[in-house]
Amino acid sequence: MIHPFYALLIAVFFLIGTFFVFSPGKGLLGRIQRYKRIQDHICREDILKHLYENERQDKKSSLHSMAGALNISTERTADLIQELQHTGLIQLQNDHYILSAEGRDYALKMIRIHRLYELYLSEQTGVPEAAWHTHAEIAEHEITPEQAEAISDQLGNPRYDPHGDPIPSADGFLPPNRGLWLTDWPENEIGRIIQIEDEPVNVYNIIREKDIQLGIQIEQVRREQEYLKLIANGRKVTLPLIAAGNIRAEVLKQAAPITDPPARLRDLQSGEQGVVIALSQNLRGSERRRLMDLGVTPGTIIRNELVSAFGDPVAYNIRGAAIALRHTQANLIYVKKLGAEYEAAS
Amino acid sequence: MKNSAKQNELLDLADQLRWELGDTIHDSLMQTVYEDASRIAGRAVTLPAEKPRLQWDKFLDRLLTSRWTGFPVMFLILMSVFWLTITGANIPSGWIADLLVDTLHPWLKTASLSIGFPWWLSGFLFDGMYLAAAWVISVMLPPMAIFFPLFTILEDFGYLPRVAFNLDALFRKSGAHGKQALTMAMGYGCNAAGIIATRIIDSPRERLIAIITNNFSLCNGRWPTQILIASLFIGTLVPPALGGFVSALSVVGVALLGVALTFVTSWFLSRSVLKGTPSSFSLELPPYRPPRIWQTLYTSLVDRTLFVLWRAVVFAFPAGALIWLMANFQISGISLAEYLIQWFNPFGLLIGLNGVILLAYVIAIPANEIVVPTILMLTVLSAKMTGMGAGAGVMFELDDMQAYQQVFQAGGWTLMTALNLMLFSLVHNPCSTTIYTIFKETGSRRWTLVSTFLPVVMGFLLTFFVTQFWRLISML
Amino acid sequence: MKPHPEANCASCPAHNTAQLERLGVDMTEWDYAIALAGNPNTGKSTVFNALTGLRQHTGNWPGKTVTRAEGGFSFAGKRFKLIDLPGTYSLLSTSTDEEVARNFILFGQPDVTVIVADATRLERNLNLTLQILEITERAVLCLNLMDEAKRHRLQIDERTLSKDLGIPVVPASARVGIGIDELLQRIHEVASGQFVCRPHRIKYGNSALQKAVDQLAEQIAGKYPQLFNTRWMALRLIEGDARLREAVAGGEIAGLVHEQQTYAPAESGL
Repeated sequence: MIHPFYALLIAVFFLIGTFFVFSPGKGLLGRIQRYKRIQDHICREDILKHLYENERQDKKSSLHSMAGALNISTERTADLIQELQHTGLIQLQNDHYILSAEGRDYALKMIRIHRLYELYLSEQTGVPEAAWHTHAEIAEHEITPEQAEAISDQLGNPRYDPHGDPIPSADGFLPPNRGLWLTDWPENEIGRIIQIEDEPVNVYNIIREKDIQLGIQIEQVRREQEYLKLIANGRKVTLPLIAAGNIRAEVLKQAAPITDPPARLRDLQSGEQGVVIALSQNLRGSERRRLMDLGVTPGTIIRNELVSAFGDPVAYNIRGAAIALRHTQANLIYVKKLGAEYEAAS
Repeated sequence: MKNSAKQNELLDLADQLRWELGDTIHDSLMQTVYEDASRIAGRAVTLPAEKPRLQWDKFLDRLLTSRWTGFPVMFLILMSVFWLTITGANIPSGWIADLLVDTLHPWLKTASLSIGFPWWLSGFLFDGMYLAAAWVISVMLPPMAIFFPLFTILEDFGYLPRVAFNLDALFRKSGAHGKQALTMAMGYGCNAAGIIATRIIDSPRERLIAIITNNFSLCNGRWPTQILIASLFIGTLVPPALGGFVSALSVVGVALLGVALTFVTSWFLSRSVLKGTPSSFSLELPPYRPPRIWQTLYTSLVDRTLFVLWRAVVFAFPAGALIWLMANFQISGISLAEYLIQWFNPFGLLIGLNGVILLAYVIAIPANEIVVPTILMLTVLSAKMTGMGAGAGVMFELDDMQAYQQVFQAGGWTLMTALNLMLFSLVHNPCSTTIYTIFKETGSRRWTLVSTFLPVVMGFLLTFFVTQFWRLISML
Repeated sequence: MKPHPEANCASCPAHNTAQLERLGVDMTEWDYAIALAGNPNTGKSTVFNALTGLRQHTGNWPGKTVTRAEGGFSFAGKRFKLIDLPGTYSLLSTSTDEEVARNFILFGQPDVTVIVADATRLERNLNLTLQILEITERAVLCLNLMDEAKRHRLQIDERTLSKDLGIPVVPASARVGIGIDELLQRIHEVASGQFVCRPHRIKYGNSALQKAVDQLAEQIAGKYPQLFNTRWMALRLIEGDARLREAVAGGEIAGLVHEQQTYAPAESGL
């Protein structure tokens, strides 16, 4: 029989080898997959998107801007452009390229798939927010229009993606943006954030760091040099103009100013009660619906009933039943504390 | 799809209104429904003037979920259930074996031969099929008849959601769904049932994790193996008075290892192929309800015990027939079974088992219940023991522990073999019913293959490392 | 549709046999189809067992019943088929369970929907009840776990409740068999048309929503004057419900009429 020491040695080498091949992302298989991602048809589709995005911002697209955006050589870009011109998706106008009507349709379809897929990820999977965009960038080249319609049906034919961007309809209709950019916001109005651009990623990260989310109430917006100062849900926030220019909000007609940052359900101590003020917009999709189904609606009185062995989750008494919620969820429910001695108005 | 003009008008209007209303439709709707519900309930319900003192419920909740008592109480409950099962099942097992094997079997053999059955037909029917089924009944019925009612009482009482409540933090950290605790608990009865129960998990990612790891819940087909091997090899290490307790402890140990593997595997899956963060979790903790003993006995006996037993017996018949055929079909004087055992042996020994055990696990793919009888029969066969049982290919019941010991010693078993068998019984491929259920529930060949082979590979690795370290240490 | 021997009497409501068959319910030997709905963990399975004499396993944790159960019973000379729907908190979200329950009540058009509610948590149970009453006109509320409610010293005035909801309300403790006889009686009354429900309808508070719903509901009512739950359909269409859109696009919606209202026997539809 083989000596146990050698047996162990062989087994450990074998395991390391397996890990090297299969390790997600970094393994051999992962590398091969990543290589596939710069195939021609994907690059062609990315060119169409680049043109669409530039046209929306009134920017001109040239061979170099495309090669730069896609991070591929100018020779290859030139080849791809020629193919696209040949199929009639793009045209040369004076010194720059523009989309033909078909090309615009094509680009809108891809944007539709991208936004639908982000919504799908946010509502029906556990993929973290930071990874939505990357996943959707891959999915937009792989999902067929039929699959996209199936996803749309499954999500209840939604109108807006998780960043508040409108999702183009299947026949290519894209409504104008709602509300105003924060940079154009009238100082005395109270409003609600309804759209946050998730590109470019570094600007989006600034917004996330400041804890600015959809649905937040904003007031006293003032511009100071390169910054925008405002009060968001009772909290003082300073935003660089580049970030504020990527946020849209709509005017709220009958809103009272929020003076203090509201407490969260998570802040209730054992036995304490609170009344629900609002549910954060970061609580979305089926998660939000399920909580509302359970009776977490504005005005509901909730008591911290029982803490589990590890401290998380906590069981809350919601309309007569003990419902266990994780801290991550309880953190997204805004409440006003009532204290332990408060008796439910009977 | 047929689209007439008037129908499209409705949909178009609906689409247009959806754009106009924005994303707050559902919120305001739910608020309205609850406001109505609250008003109507308020008119109908009169609350008591002073709050009733439901001290008992509160006390129980604190005891079962508090930081200091939650897990010890859980462990104690688990221990008592197994201790009752192990000590309580021994005696009736013996009675049934006396009746079915020692009395009925010789009678059937004699009767069949006296009315002119050829030896091979009588052997095939009664030494093969009948004995396999008889063995399964005598080994499985008593522990199941004790274990299932106890489990059902806990379930009816409302204890399972409290377990899920306590374990959730661990499931969350391993990237899994909190309700996986419930499907895991269902798996202790039957993995196929546990996998159907994963329908309560909405997120497809977390549901797959729950399906793949459900196999780490010891199912009723494997409890008898654990209990028998533990009483034979581990219970005998200590004085007889402590035997039952130590055996129960080791079975609980294996079950807890299964829970640990569930966490580790979930963690691994949710960081590799099933990447994602755990989705929301809202679990209702129902009020305690006093269990109704008679109904519990009835439902757990009829729905679970007899159902599971029936399945085991159905699979035992063909398996018994197969074993008998393999033992009696000879190529140049050596039976087919021996060929296969020799073929499996080198790999078996490498992972601390042997060819007999591996062949038994192949034969027992339809039902894990028949693993131990198959092992015993094949061991007798390969060790060429005489005076044991009734000859080649005959399944048999051994009356006392010493007889078992003799068989295992002849097969070259040590404490390490027993330990590895317990581990491999916990970590190996699911039975064929479970595999089929996984395929039906996931609808995916890929995930069915993953759920089938991941545990086998893990089982091989686990037993391999245990064996090699064991050998290395015993050399020092 | 084949004329079916039991549905011959003009007085008894003919159920939607074809639709029920599509949903997997064989109605050849039954007079009435009864759906059993309710929140999880309200003792729905216990009520099911008490009505049918079957002993489906009941466990004290929400979501216990994952497979659909069917059973039957006879009462007052009629044979009732009971279909146990998945326990849900609501019918407005998009989980599979809710979809199954909602589709059954809407498209299967059971003769009666029995809603099992936990008497100790009436408010949260009424959420589902009100949603069901938006879809169907024929329902009975079984106020289960009354023994628990007594233990909590809750007093429930079932007559006020019945008046507010517009459907029969039966207090019961299914575990010990209390209230089952009355429940059978009420189911029979509603199924046979002796009791005509006047279900409570939700008023959508948000004025923009109310306006949109009214606008679309009016259009739907214009096209399909026999539909009674137009407001609910309008709401679901605005919310983007895929199954309902399909029903509208495919014309299936025209068949969703309670025969009881028109008092037409099944054969007349041919």
